[in-house]
Amino acid sequence: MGELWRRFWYLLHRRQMQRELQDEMAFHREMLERDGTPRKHFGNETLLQERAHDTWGWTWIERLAQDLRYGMRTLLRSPAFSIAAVLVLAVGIGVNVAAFGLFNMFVLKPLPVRDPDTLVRLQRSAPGTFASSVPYPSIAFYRDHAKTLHAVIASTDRDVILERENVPARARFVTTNLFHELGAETGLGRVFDPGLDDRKDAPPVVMLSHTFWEQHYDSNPAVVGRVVHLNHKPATVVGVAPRNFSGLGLPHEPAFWAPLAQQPYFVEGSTVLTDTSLDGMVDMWARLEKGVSPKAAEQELLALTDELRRQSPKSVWDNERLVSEPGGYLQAVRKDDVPMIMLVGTLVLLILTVACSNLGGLMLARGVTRSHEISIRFALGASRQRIVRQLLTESLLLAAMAAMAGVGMGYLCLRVFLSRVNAPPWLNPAPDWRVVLFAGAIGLIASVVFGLAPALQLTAKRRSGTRSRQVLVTAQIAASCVLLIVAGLLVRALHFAVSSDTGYDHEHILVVDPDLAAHGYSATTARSYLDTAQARLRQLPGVTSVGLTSMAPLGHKNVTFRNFRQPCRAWFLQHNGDRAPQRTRRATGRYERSCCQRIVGATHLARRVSTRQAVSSRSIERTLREAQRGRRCS
Amino acid sequence: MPSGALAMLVLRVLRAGPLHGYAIAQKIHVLSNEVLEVEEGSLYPALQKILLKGWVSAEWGISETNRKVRFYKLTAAGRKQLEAELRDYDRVTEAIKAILRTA
Repeated sequence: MGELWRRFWYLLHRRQMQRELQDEMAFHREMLERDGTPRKHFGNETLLQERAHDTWGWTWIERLAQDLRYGMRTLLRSPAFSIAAVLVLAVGIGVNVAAFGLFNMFVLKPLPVRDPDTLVRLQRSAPGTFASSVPYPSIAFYRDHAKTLHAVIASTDRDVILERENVPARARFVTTNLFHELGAETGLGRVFDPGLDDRKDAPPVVMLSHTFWEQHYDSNPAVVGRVVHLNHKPATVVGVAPRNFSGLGLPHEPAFWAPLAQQPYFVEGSTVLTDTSLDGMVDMWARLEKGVSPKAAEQELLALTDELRRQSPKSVWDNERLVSEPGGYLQAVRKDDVPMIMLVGTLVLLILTVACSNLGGLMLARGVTRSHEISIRFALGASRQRIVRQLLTESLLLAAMAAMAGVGMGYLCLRVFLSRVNAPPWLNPAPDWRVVLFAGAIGLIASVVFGLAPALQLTAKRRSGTRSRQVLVTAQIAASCVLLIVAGLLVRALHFAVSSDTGYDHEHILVVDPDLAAHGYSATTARSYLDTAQARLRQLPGVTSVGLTSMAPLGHKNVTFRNFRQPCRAWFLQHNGDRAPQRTRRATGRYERSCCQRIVGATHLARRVSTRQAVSSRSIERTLREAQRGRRCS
Repeated sequence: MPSGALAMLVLRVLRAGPLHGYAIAQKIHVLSNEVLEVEEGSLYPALQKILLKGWVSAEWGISETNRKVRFYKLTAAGRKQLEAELRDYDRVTEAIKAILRTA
């Protein structure tokens, strides 16, 4: 320890120490001369001093500082070249940083909750079958019996109607321990309390998400304590969740949080809490006990699953087990995701390769004009290793600047991306230490890739010429070709997906989702409503056929009717002869936005008519007529 | 001369009291009956090494020619190190001598 300390002390005082050594050795010479040794026997004074100075092991740091100073001067001498080089490389590094930043944000960075590493998400799995949700009675059974689980959290989403508004708001029904478990007690008002809000007969309460509070209540703190109506049921607002509260990282931030135990109160006739089949759609998370591994918890849960099978055979599949994945992250990487990640990784690395070989060519071209300087340094006695090191240091400087610019570019890309997809406020695109480390590593590798070949060639004894230039150009062309081909393929695939034949005339279909359950329709009244609506729609001129479905083609939005075993969606076929003006775009998700204009119109119609008074087949008729006349509802 | 041996000699001549660099070289030269000649190029790296190890401490003083110069003084750690090295050295020389006598 003492030795290390002395070494470090020397580094800090090395100017003074060097001066002292110099003085001491001068004294030695004086004495030698006095005693009659001839001056020519003294040897090279500087070399002797450097050798003694070397003992402390800091020479490399001084050389590096020299190289950096010299490199900086060289770069400043040709600013146009330096800026061009940094920009070229910054694009290559920036693309990589953006891709990694996205990966980091979704997979590597834990959610901003307490102890994210002990959270697991539990899902049902059996050979050939998989379900992301678990029936609530089973969840309650696991919660009551599992010893490896410190706490069990359940969550289910449901659209509700706020007051008398047309637009449904998303409510997330959660077990009341959620906020305490995730350490999110710092919002406005209070959070759910297992002691107060968990009973079915407890006074109904809701919490607001921070975003909804801002947008809908203008951040008014007086909203706490106010009574709101969800699905026409009164409930007291007890608090607002903290701004950066991510919950469990589920997509689509809800507007309301409500206790799961009160779900049947808000959604009349709901069987979420008692249904042992899969219709419950309740997601399950757990916090592991201290020191328990997810595997150990899975083992215990497997035994409990067998126990559960004995108690209620219908609620468990053959060979079922609960599988865990990390719950404290936005996204867990599954095996299926790996090829996609590899593909994106390869593509962005190819872009970097192109940038590097481009820059390598530039360095080589500039190196030719520096050959004079290099020959002089050789003549002064510099070793090849020393000159290569100098040239590599310059590359490193360029790469460091490019990496910094790349981090900025990556951040901008992520910002733009997040603002496009309407991301929740807690999703933070700012680069953290992982991103900075990644950018540094990429810069380091890049500097070797584009700097080494030119440096070796410039310092070669025999100027054999164009070998490394050929290598660089070949790499550049090859990588560019691959990129071009892949880009072409992707464009082609997209074009194909958009223009392929769906097998039916989707341009003349209107889909209406009246969301009857949210308006208090019972099974019988819904049935008669749908019958009436169908009959009347059939009589409309231009309508060729009308049908019902649980799920509209090209879409995947579930609409549950109260007490219906199967989710049901009404859809109406109509034909009026005129072509839809816009080409259909088929894309996954976002059904309402990306399907054909006609369907868009109708879905907005569904939104428009979704208050209790307005849901009448008459209003649907009216809108259909409008649609036929070519007016778009939006 | 191996650098380890030089360090041992330097420590040994410092046992009598603090000396400056030139005096160390002179003393080794004289004590070895003018056989060993310690040059600047090996003495000062060795001294720096010994300083780094903490076996000697350096202090500025005035030389016999009335000039400011650095004096080296053996520390407790240096004394211990010297004893250990002398012991090792004796053991090895005895062993070598034994082989030379009998073989």
